[in-house]
Amino acid sequence: MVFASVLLGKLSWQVFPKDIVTLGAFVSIVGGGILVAAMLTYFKKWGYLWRQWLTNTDHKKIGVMYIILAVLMLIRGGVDALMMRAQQASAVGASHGVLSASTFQQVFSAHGTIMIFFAAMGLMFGLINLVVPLQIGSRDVAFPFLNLTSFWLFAAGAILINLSLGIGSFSAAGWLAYPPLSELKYSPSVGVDYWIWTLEIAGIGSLMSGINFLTTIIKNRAPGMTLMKMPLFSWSVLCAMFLVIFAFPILTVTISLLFLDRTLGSHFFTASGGGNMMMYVNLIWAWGHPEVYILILPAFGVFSEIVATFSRKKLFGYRTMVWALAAITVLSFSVWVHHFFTMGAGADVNGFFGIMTMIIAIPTGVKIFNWLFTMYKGKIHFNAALYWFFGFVILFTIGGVAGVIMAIPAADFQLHNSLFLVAHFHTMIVSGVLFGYFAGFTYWFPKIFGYRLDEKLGIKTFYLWVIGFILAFFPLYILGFLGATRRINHYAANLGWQPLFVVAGIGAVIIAAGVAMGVWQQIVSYRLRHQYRDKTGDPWNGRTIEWSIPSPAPFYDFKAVPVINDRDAFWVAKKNHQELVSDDDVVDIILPKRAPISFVLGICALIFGFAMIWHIWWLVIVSLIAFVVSLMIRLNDEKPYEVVTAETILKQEKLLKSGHGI
Amino acid sequence: MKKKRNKIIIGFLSLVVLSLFIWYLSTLNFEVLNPKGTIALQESNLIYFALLLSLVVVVPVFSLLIIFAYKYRENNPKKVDYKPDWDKNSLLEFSWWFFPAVLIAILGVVTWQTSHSLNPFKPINSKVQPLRIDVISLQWRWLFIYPTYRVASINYLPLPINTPIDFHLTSDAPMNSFWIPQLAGQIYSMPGMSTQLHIMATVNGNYRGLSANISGLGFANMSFVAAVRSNQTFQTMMKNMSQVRQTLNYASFLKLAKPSLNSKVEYFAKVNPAIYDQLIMSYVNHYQPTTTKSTNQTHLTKIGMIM
Repeated sequence: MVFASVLLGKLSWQVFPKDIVTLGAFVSIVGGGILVAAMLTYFKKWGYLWRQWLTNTDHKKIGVMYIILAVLMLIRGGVDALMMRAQQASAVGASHGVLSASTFQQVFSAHGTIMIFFAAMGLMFGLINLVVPLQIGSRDVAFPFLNLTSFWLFAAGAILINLSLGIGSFSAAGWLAYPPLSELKYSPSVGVDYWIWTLEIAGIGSLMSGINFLTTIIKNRAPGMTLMKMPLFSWSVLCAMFLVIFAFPILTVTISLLFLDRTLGSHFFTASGGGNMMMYVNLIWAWGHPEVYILILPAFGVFSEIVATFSRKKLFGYRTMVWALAAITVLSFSVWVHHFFTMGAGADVNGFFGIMTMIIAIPTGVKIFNWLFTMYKGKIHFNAALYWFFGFVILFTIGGVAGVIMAIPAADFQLHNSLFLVAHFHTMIVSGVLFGYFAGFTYWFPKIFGYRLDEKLGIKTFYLWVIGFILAFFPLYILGFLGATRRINHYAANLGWQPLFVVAGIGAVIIAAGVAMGVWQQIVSYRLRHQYRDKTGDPWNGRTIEWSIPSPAPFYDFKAVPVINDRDAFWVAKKNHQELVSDDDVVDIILPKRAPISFVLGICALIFGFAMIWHIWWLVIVSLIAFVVSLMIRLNDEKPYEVVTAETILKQEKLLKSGHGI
Repeated sequence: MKKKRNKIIIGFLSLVVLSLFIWYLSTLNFEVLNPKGTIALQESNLIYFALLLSLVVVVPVFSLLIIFAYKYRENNPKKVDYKPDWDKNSLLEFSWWFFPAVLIAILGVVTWQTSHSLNPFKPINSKVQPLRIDVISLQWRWLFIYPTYRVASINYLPLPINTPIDFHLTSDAPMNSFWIPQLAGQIYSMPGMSTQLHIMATVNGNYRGLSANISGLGFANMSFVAAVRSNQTFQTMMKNMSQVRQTLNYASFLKLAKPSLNSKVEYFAKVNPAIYDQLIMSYVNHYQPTTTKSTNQTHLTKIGMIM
């Protein structure tokens, strides 16, 4: 017995799920994995996958991997959402719905965690990876090995959270796991430990990405591109990464303290023994609120690019846009208390944080007016990417009004923790963050893959999302006013809420159809890729330098790095009938080598996390040693780069012009 | 012809659906906007006020978006201005920093004032002597102690009308949030902490109360009835409660506090009003919960085994 507990920690035959829903989910995920592996073997693609993708330090490849993983996680979180809707539409009166209370609580905890940390963050880092180096004329990120390692830590977190479906259980304490509910006394199972280690690992990956992109933007811009000549997407990323660097350490430390409480019996946040749960709530939101802006700022950046491009006009008020971004960045650290006005802080504290919260609405409003006046006296081309922008303005404004109402502490007392709040933040995250990334993905897709996405299917996807969204979330605003709280697995029949929950469920199904339509759009566009080919490298009549290179962007990005004299450098060059660079500028360059060690580090982190969760202490030590040794091997590599000659580059350019690479 | 008829049918159907929906909404109780107490009334007025003020920004944003998108569309047959290099105008930019700032300033003043006037810790101005009620959230039900009457109840909260109520709240469970939407906004109840909420009900009736913060398995069941009655009826209710058999002291409270999914109403007489303070002090003074202690010890031994 002692031997088994040393060898296996808390693992035993009892850890496998007993309810059919969880088991089914786990089996289908494993089955999907086996299917993909079988296909890779059958088509003999393992080597290609390993060399071209899994170990490749090219920022574009990493970006694509982020997006694929993020979409898979979006689907996983979406299935969670459908289950929640099914439960709340059916669990009324005598009926207790399709899920047990414990499964339901795990499902909503997983939904929030997955959507924020893996779907939204993944799409964001994916898009940043794809675009930022191209937009600022840098050949890669500042630290390519670190970049790939960040991705693999992110992936390790994603795998870990899905393991909880099949081995043990997930946290049932909500996506932010407030103590004392998340303490050992009230959550004795491994669920919260899964939550902790998923976020520890993925969070460190995010922090390193933040450092990487901040450095890249500060140090690697093309000659002549001063900060005030930098495209707004890169500006928004600069601000977001600044927030990542200041916010994510708070998250890591906070959940580390929770880990100490749960594992070593310390008393940082326990109810007794001198702990203080209110400290946790403050700390987690000191990260949590900036996190919202980490997600939304790059989406603002995307809209700034596409509104200018498709209005065929300079962005209105560039300077105010930058200042608005900077203002939001700074202010986002001074509003965290608005997440818990109801915790009983004094009137002065609540009043202060309420007013600070409202002040953020000013720079946000400025940005919206600047976008609108970018359209004024333009020539607006209604591309699918722009549809997402229109949806964003309408829905985001409505969500913003809801936000301003809740910023008043005394009004928040009546709306906090209600479905009104749930509707509010979904409006911000879905119509702001997701719509922004979808728009950006539509916009930059040809640059990465060499062909455009099907326009009509893109617009259909948009309509399904918007209609689905309105049906799914407007009933929740109403339910909030009816006094319905979030996270309820059951409610009384005489309240009369069921029809609203049913409508919300229908909306969720329509959103799911929107996701399916998006996947279908990918398939159709791929099959028609020769018809949709982007021959010029500039399919939208673009303004910034990423459109000056051929599509798909070659592995070295720029044959030669251009000198920048204007904010819309490529637009100006086109107007003056100039080329930004010529073949004579091409010289030998160095590019980072593949980095299999990053993959190994991700595996070590995954094993480490798993061992920590299940208290398999020998494995903790082994995986830690493996991690450090692997890292040392890589750091001792004297030549982690390879030379690409000018000749190779010119040859490749010729090939790309003839349509190679699609 | 056919197209026109289809349009009429679709229009008619949507009208039917819309009126059915409005009829359905009219049957519901919008608890947050249907106040039956002084605090809830002021809070719902505040929500309306903020909503109307926000419309001052929403209306121009929506109209500008629609007008600009329509007028400056690429394939507009009418000739419209195209100025690809027009990218700044100080007056316009100033105006959308300035006017929203004015709105926020107005809202800010209201925010500051209402944060103070509706501060849950602030006693309500009234000639009537306030009634203190101690609220303890358990796993997963509510215990209400009336120290003045030395009675207590589970999941049933009788309140006298037009009397200021002074709730003191704590928890012997994870964080909960005490909320009676028609009487007042919510406040957290936390173990080892004491929060306060002052309310005054102005209309007789039964109102739904609940926990608004996830606190474990039985959290959705934590609803109770706040029964607002005339002073006379309230006194009778207290008297009846003081005659029940079940009593409550700290020892029997600890038994009561064990996790339970049973949300049945219960009454207690001869209640020791010191329970509330004793409970809070039990969290503050010493490190006592036995379950935590034993689990932690096993963990520590396990670590000790390999280190």
